[in-house]
Parts: sequence; structure tokens; C-alpha cells
Amino acid sequence: MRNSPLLYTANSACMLGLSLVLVGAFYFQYGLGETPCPLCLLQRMGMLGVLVGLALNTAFGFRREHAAVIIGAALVGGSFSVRQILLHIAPVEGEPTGYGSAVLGMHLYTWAAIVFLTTIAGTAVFLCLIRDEPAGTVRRPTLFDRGALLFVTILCLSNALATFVECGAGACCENGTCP
Amino acid sequence: MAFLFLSYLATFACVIRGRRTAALAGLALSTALSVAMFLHHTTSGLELNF
Repeated sequence: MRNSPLLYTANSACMLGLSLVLVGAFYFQYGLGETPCPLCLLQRMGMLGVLVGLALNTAFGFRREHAAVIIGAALVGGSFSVRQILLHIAPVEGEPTGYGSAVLGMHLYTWAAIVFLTTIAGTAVFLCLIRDEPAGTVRRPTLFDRGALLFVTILCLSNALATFVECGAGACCENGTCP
Repeated sequence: MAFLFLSYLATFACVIRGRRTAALAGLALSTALSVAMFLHHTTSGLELNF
């Protein structure tokens, strides 16, 4: 391994940190009863794309291609967030502003945009610290790494099941549960 | 939309099983499908205030 084990632990910690955002989304969905909209689900997919990039680092070692995967997924997810911000940027008089409830004054899609921007900035920092592992490297992840990987996989499965319950097998309806 | 999450799940399965190329291909496909779903929702001409 050409990189410090500490960097791999930091990579797994980032996986868990980003997973907590998705767990928070589940709290809003089931704890507060706020059904996610299609754009909200697409932003979750952007975060899962970022998590795939981090998981690739865990399984195969740090590579520039994996950083590209993370940045690409963050850009796609960030585009979905910005689209939703723009939809609500000019409030209509007499109508409630934004979609869903706010956290610390900002809606979840605004937080999602911040998370994606932070991901890109964090990847830039990682790129300064890491060295490419040789091609064909297959790591032996630590227990912590394996736990993080298993957790995000279960989270992805949970999202699939929750979306199936909400929308069925097809596309979701515009605002929450289909009639 | 659940099938999109399933495609991400398949990608994670590829990572866990050590199939890097398949994982990269799966992620590319998943991302392309989610962008297609985004375009479907934004151009469907329905209520867009979501």
C-alpha cells in the first residue's frame, strides 16, 4: 500500500458521514411524515454515486479514477439540488415557500447542494494527499472499512424498498405518494 | 424509480465482490438512468413545483 492506513480510515469515515445524511432523510420521511419528491430521490442517488466512489477507494485503493467518479457523481447530484433550489427561489405570494420543512433555516435540497459542494472540496483535499495505488490492487479492508461498506449497501437497499413502497416499480408521481 | 436504486445496489455488490470494471460500468449506467429520469420529470409538462 502506498497510502497511510489513516487516509483509508478517513475515507470510511467520510462514507459514514455521508450515510448519516441519508439516514437523516429517512428520519424526515418516516419520523416527520414528509414524503420525498422525485427530485429529492434523485439527490439521494447522487449521494449514493459519491458513496460508490468512496467504496471503490475502500475496495481497490486510492486511484485518480475513483476521485473522478466522486466528483462526477457530486456534480450530477448537485445539478439536481440546484434545479430544486431554482424551482423555489422566487416564492409565489400566498403559497408556502420551498418544499418540506427547513433545517437551520435551509431546506433539505439546499443542504444537499452544500453537501455536494463540500464533497468536491473534500475530494480536492484528498487528491493532494493520496498517491495512486498500482493497477490491479485489491485491498484487505479493515473491520471499520467493511462495516462502513456494509452499512451503505444496506442503506441503498433500504432506499430501493422505500421507493418501491412509495412509487411502485415505475416513475414517481410529481408530489409524493401516487394517488 | 426503485429500479434505479437497485442498479446502485448492484454496483455496490460489484464493489464488494471485487469486480472493479463492472462496478464502474454499473455506476455509469446508474448515473445515466438517473439523469434520464431527471429529464423525464423536468420535461413531462406536469406540475413542476416539487
